[in-house]
Amino acid sequence: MNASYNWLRALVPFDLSPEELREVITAHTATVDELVPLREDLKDVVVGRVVEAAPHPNSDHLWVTKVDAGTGELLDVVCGAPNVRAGHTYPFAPTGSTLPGGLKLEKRKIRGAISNGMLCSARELGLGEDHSGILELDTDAAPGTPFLEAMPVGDTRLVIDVTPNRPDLLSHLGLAREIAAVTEEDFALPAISGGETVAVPEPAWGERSARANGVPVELVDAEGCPRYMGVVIRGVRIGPSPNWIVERLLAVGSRPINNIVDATNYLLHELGQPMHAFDLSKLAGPAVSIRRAARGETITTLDGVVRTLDPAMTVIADAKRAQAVAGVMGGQESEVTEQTTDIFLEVAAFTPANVRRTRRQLGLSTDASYRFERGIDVHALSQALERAVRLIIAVAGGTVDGTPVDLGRRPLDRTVVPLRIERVTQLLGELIPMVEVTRLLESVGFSVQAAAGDLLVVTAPGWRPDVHIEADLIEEVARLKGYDFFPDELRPFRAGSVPDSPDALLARRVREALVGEGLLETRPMPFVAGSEDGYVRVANPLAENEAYLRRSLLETLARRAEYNFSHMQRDVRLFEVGAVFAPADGALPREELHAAALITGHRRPPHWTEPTPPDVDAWDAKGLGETLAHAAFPTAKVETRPACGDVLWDIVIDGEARGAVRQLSVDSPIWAAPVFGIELRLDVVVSAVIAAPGTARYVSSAERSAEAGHHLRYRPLPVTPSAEFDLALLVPVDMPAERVENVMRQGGGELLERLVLFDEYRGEHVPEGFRSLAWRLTFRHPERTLRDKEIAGRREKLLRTLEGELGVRQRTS
Amino acid sequence: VLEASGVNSERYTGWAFGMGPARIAMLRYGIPDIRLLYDSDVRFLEQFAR
Repeated sequence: MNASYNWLRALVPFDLSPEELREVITAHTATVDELVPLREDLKDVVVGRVVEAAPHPNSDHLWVTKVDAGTGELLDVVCGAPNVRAGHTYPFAPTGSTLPGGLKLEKRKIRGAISNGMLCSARELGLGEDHSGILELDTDAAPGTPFLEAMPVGDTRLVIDVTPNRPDLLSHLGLAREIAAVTEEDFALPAISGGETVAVPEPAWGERSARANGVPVELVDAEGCPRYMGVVIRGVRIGPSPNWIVERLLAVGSRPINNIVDATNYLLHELGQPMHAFDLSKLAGPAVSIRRAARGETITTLDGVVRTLDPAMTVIADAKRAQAVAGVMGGQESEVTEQTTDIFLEVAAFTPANVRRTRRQLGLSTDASYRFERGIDVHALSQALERAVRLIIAVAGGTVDGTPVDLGRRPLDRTVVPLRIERVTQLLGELIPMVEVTRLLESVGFSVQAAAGDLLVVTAPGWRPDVHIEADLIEEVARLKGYDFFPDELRPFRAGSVPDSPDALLARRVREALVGEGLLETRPMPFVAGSEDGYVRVANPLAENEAYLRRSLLETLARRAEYNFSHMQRDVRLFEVGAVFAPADGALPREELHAAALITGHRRPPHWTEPTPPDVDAWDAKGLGETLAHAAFPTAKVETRPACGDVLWDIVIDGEARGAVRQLSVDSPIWAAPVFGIELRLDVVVSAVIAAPGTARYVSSAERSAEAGHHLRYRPLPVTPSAEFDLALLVPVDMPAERVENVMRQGGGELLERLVLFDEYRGEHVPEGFRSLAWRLTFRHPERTLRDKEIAGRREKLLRTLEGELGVRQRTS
Repeated sequence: VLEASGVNSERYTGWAFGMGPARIAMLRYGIPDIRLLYDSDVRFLEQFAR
């Protein structure tokens, strides 16, 4: 919403610069997004000081001067003004600049003397009519300072972000009211010169119909229009608007059209009340009715477009057809033109929801519809009409014919809200006395009555449709008092009594474990190049080539690895805890929480003791997968089982396959190392209605301590010596070492304390299809020393069992 | 907001705000482009590794 600084100043005599005004409005009312200095056409003009002035040798009315324009040297400038004096400052347009009006300044000789630029009069700068002399400046600004900086000339446009709940701020009157309240000034609408003596008769009221002299006006669609006022003005003369209206309209970004249309536009921006003038001679009847459109009825709107209407839309019609889309745009047929002499002026309120629906349907949006949609002040219509009549007659002449009409149900509603003083203190945290609360509310138009006890009964003004409850009033008190009034306090953090959710705790454990492994957490976008088969499509994707939601985390991590490769990064160690999606029967996809890690490159950073460390391999990935699984499910049984295809191992938690370790195929450059990925399903995310308070699926503190209660118990250190031996066995390549170990554990019995696989050998002396695996077995009796004889027996027994059950023999060479 | 969430606004009060953690991070760490947080470039992520 655009507001003009000068226009606001005309309504409230504040003593603030545009920057200061911006601070005030932003602090109490609405955010001022931008200050746009208008009169940018004067940006090349600077402050110039005349250092010397002497009469021109070849002319009796010219002067030759030396001007300091901040360039470092004095400029020779010829000046024709009678009031040029040494020591004074004036606006100076240097060579190369262009004045408003198009005059381009160049170095010239005037009657034989050189002139580098021009000292300017007010008229030459477009700042007024005065051309009797150059514009003397009263400023301390140094020569060379840009004129726009030194002088508060030219208007400034404030671009204000008005939230939808404050339609009253969509006008200079509404903003002025706020500024006046905060700066404790008075505000008033400026008098309309030439209009103040116009007598506007009392309107004739009718709930459904009334006559504005010869023109019957009928309100058929009361639901779409709560109040409709109109008046006939005859004998107007169409022409251009006076300068002051043109300036105001330009300052807010509107363009002038003709005096009648501009007047209605001016009042829209001044009062926030949209209005429309019809050419009375073009209205059939003449009669006006406010009704719903007939199905298929058409109208050509002011912009020349033919529009088809439907019965949900309210129109303003004459005796034969629709002449305006109510609240949105007038029709071309009855628009005011140069030939217009009699007008019917409409000042009305239309139901916000209807206007919104209509304008969306038609794809139109206007300054008028914007305000009607948000709500205008129904109570202020008659004052608006009165001012409009004065303004129109002042700029276009004419006289009121008959009386204005005022249609709609009475009385109009008022919102009354009770306010408890102690509630103000409770919500705001500071005591604000009743007297102060009353003053603040009254300053912006609320009327306040004291009632029994600490209660105030507050009536909201017609321009505040957003105030409904006590808290709305308390917000008014807070913002008008100023949020800076309320002290801020940092209180010690008190942890809540609601325990963290299990998925948050799980995710945290996973993160800590993987960061501990030296991986970097990443949060990529979950969009992939999927397909219709098995992926959920995004309705409005960020990129067409990644229009699907991922089904696995590794899909995105693989692309991120490729991204890093493309930036010449060989060592990539990433992990993510995030959501994956699969199509489901209902409206929402099935969502799961997964953890995934991707590693490629060196196992350790290169070091001067080890310039080329080995790259990570499948075993690193397996170990990482186990770490991840243990971190996620600390009390569960974690197994990694060899798998087939591109899955190297399945990760099985308490018997359920929940993840995998795999080698990934990505688009790698030649120097890249193999890429490994681990993914583990953590949980299913339930898409459901938000739980009512007290019913959330949280772990109770009792459950939590039970889970944490799996303590270790100390085992006494051994006091007796151990006996050990090694076994090197020929194991088929496809037989997992674990299987051999399980047999050895069983066969080893209670006394087998430790079993460590310490070597794998393939090559010479090992037959094809086999590998040599070597274990060290450690035996110990808790109470006595074991003798080698006892162990030897066990050794033989083990070898027999291994050969018998698994066909595994000892390596003999 | 409280009433719509089934909380008695006479008994409780509170604050509601929408916050973009990514944007706060940009302010705190001086990150010029929000996409850096989602690119997964290890040279970026390493800067925040403890």
